[in-house]
Amino acid sequence: MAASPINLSDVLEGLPAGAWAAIYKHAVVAYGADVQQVLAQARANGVDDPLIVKVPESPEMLFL
Amino acid sequence: MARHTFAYRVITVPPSPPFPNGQTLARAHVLTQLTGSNGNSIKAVSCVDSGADGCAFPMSFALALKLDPLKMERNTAGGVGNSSNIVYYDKIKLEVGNIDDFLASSMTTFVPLIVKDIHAGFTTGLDASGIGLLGHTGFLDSCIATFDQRNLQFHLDI
Repeated sequence: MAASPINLSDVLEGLPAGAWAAIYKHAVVAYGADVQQVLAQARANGVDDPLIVKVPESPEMLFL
Repeated sequence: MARHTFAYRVITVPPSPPFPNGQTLARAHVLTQLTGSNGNSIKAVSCVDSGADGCAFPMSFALALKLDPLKMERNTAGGVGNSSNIVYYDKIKLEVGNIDDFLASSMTTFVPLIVKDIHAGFTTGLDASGIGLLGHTGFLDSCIATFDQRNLQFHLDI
């Protein structure tokens, strides 16, 4: 039985729509408009290998 | 054959004209680590997508991997709303794991559940969503996927 998943929307709350974010454990360690810059900032903050996710452009965006 | 069980990620969508009460969506998302042919890697979210012919990822990931689009093989692919996205390919190592396990772990080493070498596409058509697609060629052709949305789980037997 899989455990209840962590809600990434909570982790990303307050970030600009459309931004890329680097997450490590349950925290955002960097964010911005460009993945390469976000990765570089995360590494500058001491996180070499974060999870990269995108903040949805709008909360009602569906994927078809 | 080993069974790997994942929780659907449940998304609450606010009301809109066609859905005045809002919606609750369940997405079959997994953690993927992509390691390019140059040895660089990136971790991102991907969707197990039975409607996708192959495996594809946002073009931004190719650039983050420092792959050179000018040297990559390419073709075109379509999807909803478009019919001619250019897709750039690289031979990558695909490692699949559980998003929650990674976020909850205090370990710095990612322990994948599934590892495959695939011919993966990268396209700007996926930059808006920011997630990869794990489709038939390269992924679903070598495992059994069971979608059990009623119980908010999906399984990959490989």
